[in-house]
Amino acid sequence: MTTIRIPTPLRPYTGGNGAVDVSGATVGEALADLTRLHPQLRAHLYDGEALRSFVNVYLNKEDVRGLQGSDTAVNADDTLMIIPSIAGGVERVVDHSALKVNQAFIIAFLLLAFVLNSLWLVVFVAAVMLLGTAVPALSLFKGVYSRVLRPAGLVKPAVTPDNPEPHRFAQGFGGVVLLAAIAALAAGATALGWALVGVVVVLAALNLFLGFCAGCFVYYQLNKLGVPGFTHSPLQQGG
Amino acid sequence: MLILANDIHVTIRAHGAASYPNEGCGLLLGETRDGDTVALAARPLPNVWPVEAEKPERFRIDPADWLAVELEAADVGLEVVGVFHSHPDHPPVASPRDVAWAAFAGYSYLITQVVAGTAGLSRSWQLLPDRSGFVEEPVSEE
Repeated sequence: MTTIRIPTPLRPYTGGNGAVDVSGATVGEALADLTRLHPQLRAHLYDGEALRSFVNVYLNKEDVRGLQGSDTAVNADDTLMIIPSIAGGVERVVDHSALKVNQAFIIAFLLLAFVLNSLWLVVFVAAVMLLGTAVPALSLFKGVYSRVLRPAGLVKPAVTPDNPEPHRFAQGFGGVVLLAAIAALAAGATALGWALVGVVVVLAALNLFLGFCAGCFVYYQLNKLGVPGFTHSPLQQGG
Repeated sequence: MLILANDIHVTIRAHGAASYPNEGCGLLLGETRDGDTVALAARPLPNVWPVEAEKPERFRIDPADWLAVELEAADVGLEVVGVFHSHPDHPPVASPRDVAWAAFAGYSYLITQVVAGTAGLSRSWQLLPDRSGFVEEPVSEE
């Protein structure tokens, strides 16, 4: 009979046994016999019909995935070991409410700048965006959210798994476009200047109303191309 | 309850600090005593998360390393009773990602906070049997 070694936390389901002798000509049959003998094990080892993603089966110290998987032949003197994979880590999260408040302020101030024909308001927004990119803690509009709007219950947090870096890049990108707009406005190229301001308003509105972050898209494309500094790829679900 | 014996908390904290800014990880070896988990030895293991730049936020233990430690433990009459890892610049609280990628319920999941390279508080967690989340378990040192 083939022996299957049982991980410590599963021994309550095998009557405390650290090893169970099973019959079967293959790894799959041996595991089926194990769960037939100890039915409570099944829920811990299987997710539906498949082994759970973190469950590895080793035949005499070799991962059966590198052999013939569940069809791998087993002999009477073989030992199978159930070894978990484990991974984890801190959660990368972004509060999308903070981003939306930031975008709303950017749009409002830039529209106001256009209506009042105020170069200084554009300079103000550019400064806020670039400072917030360089030192996120000094992000003025996000500060209004975290110190005023959220504590007052006016805006509810929407914390979801996400990478903060692409959003930071997107804001920096917007800030740089505004710098170009300021240069154009100061040089008298009024139409070009307000057109560039318009680009920032449209991109911020796309993000605010449709949830599409153009800067993040660019960031992830640069990540895909392996550009240094763009280290984060989109978050994956699961293992 | 998780009991850390033989000053292994020193080993665990040192490994977390040495791994900074990356997450450090390893296995706890010991035994179960009157319903408590007693960790008698700590085995630091490489963090084999495949993307180097993500190691400050992620860890993975190679199952081949786990197997080797499991066999080593069995040779001296011990068992793998838990997993430890560090959270650089984050609180030692099990995250949704830790839940998603945990192994079996029944292991102690010890997390050590490391701030700017200095190891701080450790807290331990048990995965609920239905894998819906972690509950904290007390930690004591003896």
